[in-house]
Amino acid sequence: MLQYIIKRTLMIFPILLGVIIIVFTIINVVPGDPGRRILGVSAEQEAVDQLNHELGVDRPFFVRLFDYIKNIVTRFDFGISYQSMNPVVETLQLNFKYTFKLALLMTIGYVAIGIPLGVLSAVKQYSWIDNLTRVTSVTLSAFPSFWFYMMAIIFFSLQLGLFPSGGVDSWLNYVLPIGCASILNSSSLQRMTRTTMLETIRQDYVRTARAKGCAKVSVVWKHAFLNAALPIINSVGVGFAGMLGGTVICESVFNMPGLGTVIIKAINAKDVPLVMGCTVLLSTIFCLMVLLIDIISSLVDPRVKAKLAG
Amino acid sequence: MTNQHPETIKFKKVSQSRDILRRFLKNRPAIGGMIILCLLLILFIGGCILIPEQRCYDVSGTPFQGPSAEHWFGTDHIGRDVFARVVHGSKISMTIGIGSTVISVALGSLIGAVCGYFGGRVDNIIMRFFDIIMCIPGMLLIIALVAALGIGVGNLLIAMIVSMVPGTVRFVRSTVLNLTDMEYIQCAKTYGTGNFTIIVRHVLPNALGPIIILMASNVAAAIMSAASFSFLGFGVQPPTPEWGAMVAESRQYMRQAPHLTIFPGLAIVIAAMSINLIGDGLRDALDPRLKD
Amino acid sequence: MADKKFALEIEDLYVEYVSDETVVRAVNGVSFKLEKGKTVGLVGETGAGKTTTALAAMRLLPDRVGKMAGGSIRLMGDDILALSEKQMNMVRGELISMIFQDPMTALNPIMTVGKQIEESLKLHNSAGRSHEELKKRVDEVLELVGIPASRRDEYPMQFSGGMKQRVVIAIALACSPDILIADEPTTALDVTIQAQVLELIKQMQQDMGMSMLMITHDLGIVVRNCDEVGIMYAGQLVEYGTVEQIFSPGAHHPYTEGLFGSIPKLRSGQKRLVPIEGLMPDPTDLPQGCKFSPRCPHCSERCRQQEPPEIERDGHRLKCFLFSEEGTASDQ
Repeated sequence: MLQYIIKRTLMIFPILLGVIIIVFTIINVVPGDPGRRILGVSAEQEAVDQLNHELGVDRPFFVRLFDYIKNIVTRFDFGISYQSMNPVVETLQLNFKYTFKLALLMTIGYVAIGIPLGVLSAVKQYSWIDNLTRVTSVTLSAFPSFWFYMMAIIFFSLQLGLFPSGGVDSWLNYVLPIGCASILNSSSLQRMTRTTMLETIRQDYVRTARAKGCAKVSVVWKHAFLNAALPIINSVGVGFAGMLGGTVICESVFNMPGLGTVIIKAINAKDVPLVMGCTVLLSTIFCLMVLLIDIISSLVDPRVKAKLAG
Repeated sequence: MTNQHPETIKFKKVSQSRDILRRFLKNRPAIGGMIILCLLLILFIGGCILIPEQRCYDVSGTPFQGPSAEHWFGTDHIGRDVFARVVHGSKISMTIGIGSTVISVALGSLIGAVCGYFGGRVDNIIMRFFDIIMCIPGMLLIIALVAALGIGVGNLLIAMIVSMVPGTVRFVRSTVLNLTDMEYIQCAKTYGTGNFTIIVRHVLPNALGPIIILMASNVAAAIMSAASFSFLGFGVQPPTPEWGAMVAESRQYMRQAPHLTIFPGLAIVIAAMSINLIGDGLRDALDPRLKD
Repeated sequence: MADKKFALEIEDLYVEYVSDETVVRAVNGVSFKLEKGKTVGLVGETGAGKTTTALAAMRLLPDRVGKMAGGSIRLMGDDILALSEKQMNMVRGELISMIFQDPMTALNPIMTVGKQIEESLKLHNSAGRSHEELKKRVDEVLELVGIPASRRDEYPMQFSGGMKQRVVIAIALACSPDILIADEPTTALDVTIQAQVLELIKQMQQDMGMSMLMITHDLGIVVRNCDEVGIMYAGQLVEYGTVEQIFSPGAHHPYTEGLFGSIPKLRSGQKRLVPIEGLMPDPTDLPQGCKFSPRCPHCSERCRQQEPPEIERDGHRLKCFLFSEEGTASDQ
């Protein structure tokens, strides 16, 4: 078991290395001229060359790649932002907490809505409540998030004046973005929970438990749900990691600070190191999350445990 | 529990495709989706023919008019007709959505089928490569690609295809892997059937169902994600009409003219929903076991 | 009506499975009584309604789909339809328990076997036993079914099929129920294990003085374990009697004859087995008249029109026109 965890953890390093190489390659396929970009069109060519040399972008591709990796590994240095000339790490640190908070709250929200509805839907299959949640979830899955956010702003903020339409001044600002994101994302989790639960709820061991005298509710949660939990945990974990990268739209619509806002600004300003820093950071978190889920499921589920042992 | 009368099983030999069609036609939501999509397509195609594209850029109207007989969806902040823009916007939105799906599924199926069927070292290397790409959250991968290639419709299309291929490869590969384990394929091999014949005659037809299901479920997602990136400003640039870009333009006028936000968005919702319903229906019809 | 002599009384039971378009009539007027301490066997093909009858007795018919359409079931004299769901939960496991057909799937894969037995004990812990006492009882029950107590913390997948069935039996017997329903307890097991498991069940029954309903399609099991037998066909008891009555030559339902005809007999010198022609009727569309008429070698016009009445002689019940008039029952 321990051996597996160690092996699995060590495996993350080549993957991360691969991610950095791929991201670096993608972003550097098109040769840039950051010196010109920073100094502007009217600057002297000599000054531009000088700056390019200082930034090290005039060196060959592989040298730069090697340097980039070396700096990350040895000094946790992601380079310097072309916009502010500050280290990228500082910007990331400053903005990560907003995005993390947002993604975490959204995840809690959609889990709190999606799982109970999915379970209810499965337990009461074909009842009106099941039909209603199914119709709702099919409808919701066709809603583009940016539009859903804006409709919420138009209705709750502009028409009713209940919540502010953007910013992060108080908890009220979080109600709309998190509420909307939770509802939107819950639909796929609800469907997934329903499908897995429908499968486990028909298993013979559920009937065995009922024959023991287990009440319906406790059978549903203790036997059926726990058996369905693994794929659900999996999807929530990946969902959370994906959300860290997916708050871009939410931050943009609601004018919130965070990595999403940073990345949009960086792209528009062609700030390559910052875009790369964001991507590498969020991909790393994604990988770590997948690792964490794998370890958790290997510890929790005896079936996975046995597969690893055997 | 099968309620089927044993004798009817024996004698009613319905061909598979007719059986699938029958199951699909019995699925009411799917038929509803089909009808909505057809109406929508008639509206959009007819609209594109009847309404001159020039009208999308015609700023002669009064700004911020509500819906009226003359301007069905009202006018925007510089007096352009919103209906004309929604209709002509469908071209780009649908093209990116359908185009990226079809190309990525075709590419992915090809790579996936070859990897799954032949296996070995090449398969291993290719799959490791795609595993790594899948570690980069999809949205970020597209953003990074757009950042590298530059903002624009063509580049967005490329970025979306690149981000969709790894998932398709993985999906098709596992489908093909399952198929090659099947006894009829083993059987064909023992007859000495060539690899090419096996892939074309046995593997692909059987993998077609899952691939169609995948395609159907990807189209709607692709339409929505194309709109999202245009909304963020990474795709279609104003003044070209496109649904996501139109919603983005309307952001400053949500208070005065909510209809500017509502109509392009509704177009996305209706298109995506009807395609989703058809996709679900196809899934149920092609693979009844998946139906709950 | 309620007789203290009987552990389980099923009277004129009807069960239907209702899905969108179809109604499956799974059980159509089944009546029998299980005497305390005795064993009744239910025999029949797959789909004859044996398991459904058992599930109805536990009130565990699938939600929304399956429902009791008529009749009554009394457990130890109490009508189970009159009980609330909460009371029924107390009855299940404590008064009546069930062993299921497939031990591979009957155990929760992510719970240790000890926990699964303990759960049953905890649910029926009216004596207020402490945690340690419950643990001790789990060990006891495990030893009782022949599993070392040291395997308490193992998961079902670490057990073989026969051992799993022992665990299932342990769960069913943990609270010493009065009635045990064994639903084809050996069908899914290897032949060599079958005898062991049956022996175990029989011994447990004797030790605990349980009444048992044994569902099987193996006539050999019936003759060795049961006191009374019911032959089920298409949701009906076509014949019911003591083991002697059913297994001795004489007046039998054609279906019973058919069942016996399809078993090889070593000593009779018969050359071929005689299978019953045809298949069970579609339960959504049962034939008019006698349900067995389409497959019956002695079928007459009357059989296709009318449902045969049940006639009884010394507790031996038959549902066939061949015997409806006293004395006409002859050898066939």
